[in-house]
Amino acid sequence: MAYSKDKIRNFSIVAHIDHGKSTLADRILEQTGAVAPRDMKEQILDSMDLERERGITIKLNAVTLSYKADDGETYIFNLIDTPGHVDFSYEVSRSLAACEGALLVVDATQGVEAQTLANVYLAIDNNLEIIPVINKIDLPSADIEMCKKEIEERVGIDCANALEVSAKTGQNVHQLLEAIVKYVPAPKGDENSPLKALIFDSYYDSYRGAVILIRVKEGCVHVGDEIYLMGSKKTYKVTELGIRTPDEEKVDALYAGEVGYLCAQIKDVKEVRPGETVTLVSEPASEPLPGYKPLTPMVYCGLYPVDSQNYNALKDALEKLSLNDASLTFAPETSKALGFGFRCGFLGLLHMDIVQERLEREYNLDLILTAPSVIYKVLLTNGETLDLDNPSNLPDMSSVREIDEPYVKASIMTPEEYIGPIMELCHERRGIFLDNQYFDKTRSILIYELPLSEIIYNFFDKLKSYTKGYASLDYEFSSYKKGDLVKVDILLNGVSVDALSMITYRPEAYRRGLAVIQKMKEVIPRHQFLIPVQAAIGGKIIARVDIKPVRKDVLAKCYGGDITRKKKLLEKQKEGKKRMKKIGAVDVPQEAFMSILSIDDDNN
Amino acid sequence: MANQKVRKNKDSRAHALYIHIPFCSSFCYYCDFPKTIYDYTEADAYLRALNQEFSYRINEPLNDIYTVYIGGGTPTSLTPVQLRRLFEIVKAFINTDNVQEYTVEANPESLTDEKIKLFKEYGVNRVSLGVESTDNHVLKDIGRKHTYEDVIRAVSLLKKNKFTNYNLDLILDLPKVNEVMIRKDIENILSLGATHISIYSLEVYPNTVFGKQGVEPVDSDTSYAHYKLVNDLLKKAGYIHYEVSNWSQPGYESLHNLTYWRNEKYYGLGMGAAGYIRGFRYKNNENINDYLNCHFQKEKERVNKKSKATYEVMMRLRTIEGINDAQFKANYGYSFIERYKEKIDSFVETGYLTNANGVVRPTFNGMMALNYVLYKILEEDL
Repeated sequence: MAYSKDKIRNFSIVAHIDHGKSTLADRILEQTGAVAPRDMKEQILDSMDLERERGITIKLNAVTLSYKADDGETYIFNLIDTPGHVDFSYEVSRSLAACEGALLVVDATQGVEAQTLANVYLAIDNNLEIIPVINKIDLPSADIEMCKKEIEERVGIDCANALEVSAKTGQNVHQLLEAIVKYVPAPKGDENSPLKALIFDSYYDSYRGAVILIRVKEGCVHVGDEIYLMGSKKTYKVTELGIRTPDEEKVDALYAGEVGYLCAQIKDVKEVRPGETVTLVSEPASEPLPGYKPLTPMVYCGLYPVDSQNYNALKDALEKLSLNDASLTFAPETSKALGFGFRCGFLGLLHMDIVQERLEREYNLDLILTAPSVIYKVLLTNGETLDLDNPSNLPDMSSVREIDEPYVKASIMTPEEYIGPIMELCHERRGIFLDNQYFDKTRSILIYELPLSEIIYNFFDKLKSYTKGYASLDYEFSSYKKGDLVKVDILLNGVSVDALSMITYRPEAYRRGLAVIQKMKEVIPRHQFLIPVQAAIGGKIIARVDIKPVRKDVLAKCYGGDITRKKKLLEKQKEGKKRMKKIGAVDVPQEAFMSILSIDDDNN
Repeated sequence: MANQKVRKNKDSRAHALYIHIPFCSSFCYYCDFPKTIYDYTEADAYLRALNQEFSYRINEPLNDIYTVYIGGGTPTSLTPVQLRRLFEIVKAFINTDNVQEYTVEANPESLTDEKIKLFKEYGVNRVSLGVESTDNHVLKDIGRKHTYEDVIRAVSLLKKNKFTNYNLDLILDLPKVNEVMIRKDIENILSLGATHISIYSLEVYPNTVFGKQGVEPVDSDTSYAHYKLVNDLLKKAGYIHYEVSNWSQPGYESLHNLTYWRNEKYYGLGMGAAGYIRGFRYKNNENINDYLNCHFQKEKERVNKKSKATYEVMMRLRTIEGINDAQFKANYGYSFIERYKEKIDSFVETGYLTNANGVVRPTFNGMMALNYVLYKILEEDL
């Protein structure tokens, strides 16, 4: 065995976006000497460019560090990073399950946020030792005492031993490392028991297949062992084991308490979903580790190439992306309006956004996304149930008995003065009030059950604008409920555009339909003919706007000096038109397909 | 334009000459032309530099320049002595006896009897007067220094000196101008008896006072309605709408400007001027100091055959002359009408173009929406 178990500390960092998690991780890496200063890039754990730019962690990552403590002993730290967004709460819970402790990082200028709270509760659920860390104490606006008080009152954690650090300057980071040694419990587990290893992340490597990150809970695993995945019920042979420091270092075996990576020529990351239990074929564990959930995308949308010739390129790109993203699902679909594309499933809107951006940036694809949809359960008159992820596939209403839609339990933390507007918003969005918990003297947590479809329909933006950005939102799936729902079709120039169909709450159908067609009128450029845009329910037109023909669009003066400029303007115009999709004779810009989402109801 | 001889495109020589005089006594709020505040010494130095550019571009006196256009800026901001020097420079490099149309731009307030007599002496036979509006409040609001009374005075001076060929410039879609005021402007302009009227819809550029003030251009439907109104009134008075922003009495189209719209060659001299000679389009420096230091040219672009064809379509569809397919085919080796048949047909159907006897022409609607029409036709070639 490589390390003595009582010298191992497995921990995670829990923080709200922007509260300095990645910077702190960098500082820990630096001060443990895991990474030479010359190799430091800012925020080394966020390895994708996109993560770096957005300042949020998308992909989990783990790193093994060695730390020589003040007591003269050398400790092994396994720092397991967690993503920081509501879409990834399951992934967060699995990575927390791989730890014994968590650093709760709170920005001294901001205090505790709802998101942090959600993750702290996940940590408490997983029985972790939580060390409060007040960050950004170097800032003039830092209020350390207020911050401690908040943590004590809201999270219920004693802040007597809270660390006060500045990840930016490195101040008190040493004390933090000592606190990790002192307060994070050493892992338990018996290396002689049957193997139980928790998968908490994976990524794809074209030579070795899926590289999975595991925390060995019980037993041990050696190179050459036959392993069995208890969730997907698949068997593989271990070809490589190692730790990441963060460069990979191969080892022969991993023992209870350790964190490392495992390769076994696994072709598909979907077979190694986080939460899976790895055991041995020769001596299997009697039951898997708790908490495993199969993959459940919450939000679906159609993805189409603007240029239909790029279908295969899109297919390749999705295949490659999904190698590293077990949460992304996709299946071919055909749209009359958009041609060949894919119906893709995502954990949430942010996940969808990230995938779109990666496809466009890393694979240089021009894409059209249709408005996201939830999965409706359609009960047919013949007794069958249909899982509907694309509104345009809704069967004729004569054969539909009932449509059920998914609801989520949403926790909204807000300063008290905004409770009124938020309750109004939730009420408008068909929310069912569950609870109003007092968080502290000035803030409350409102708990609502809301249709997921209402949340993906610019709920978050609304919430932010109603509360000047102070409210935060966290949600999880609760149940399916029967809805008074109807399909609204959008007709462009007289032809129904399947990609724009939406399922909506019946009393809202007219307002939504009108809002969408008005938005379409705004974004679709004028053509040489009049273009009617209509909203219809079951063939009956409920609203109409017209896009007038182009009237005046000309450079008034075109003399000697203007001629080359005029040509350049035309060429520039062509750049802008690249992202248009031709539907019939109408050029439709990408954003028109997202118009269902970007509607500001206040306009109506 | 029946009385104008259509020149063969095969003729690759330039027959037009533009000279830019960048000086103004003050700047108008909408103007984004290359310009600088008039300074007596600087103007002298400018004329010396201009003379240098003439020697640089023209090796021996040209006999075949048919149109000269002196624009600005404000050419009449020069003193009579400086104007005379300017005309002498022109005369030294081209044979002005062969010039059919010799235009000078003038501002109503700086056009004097003395300057008009000077024009006459050097063969200037056309004046373009910047009227812009006939409402004194509007004139003040756009930074002009003249009044409508100055315009009346300037026109009577022209008439007194037997200048019968003059253009009046107007700006449409200025802030706070309504249809009643537009009608009044047109009525006033018509009473002044111009042979040629240019009416430009306001375009707001960032580097202008209007741009800094954040003046919003009127919406396209309103602007269209304004142009339509103007066109109806001018048509009734016997003017022909022969180019997007230009109307003339029959036979008084601007020969010089037709050079541009026919995609033909021209010399351009002076600060910020552009030219098209010997297969190159060039543009001069817009910085007065660069120009005074004889750094004339800023950039040039070789015009290959494909790009020339694009320019041809772009420019020719601005006028009612349109594109003569036989001539186009002779120049470029393919038929314009055949190549863009589908698009031309659809524009004919929707009323933006006409296609008859092998000539494609823009309608009024086509001129107004020309960016759209051009973009659609040329889409694949850009």
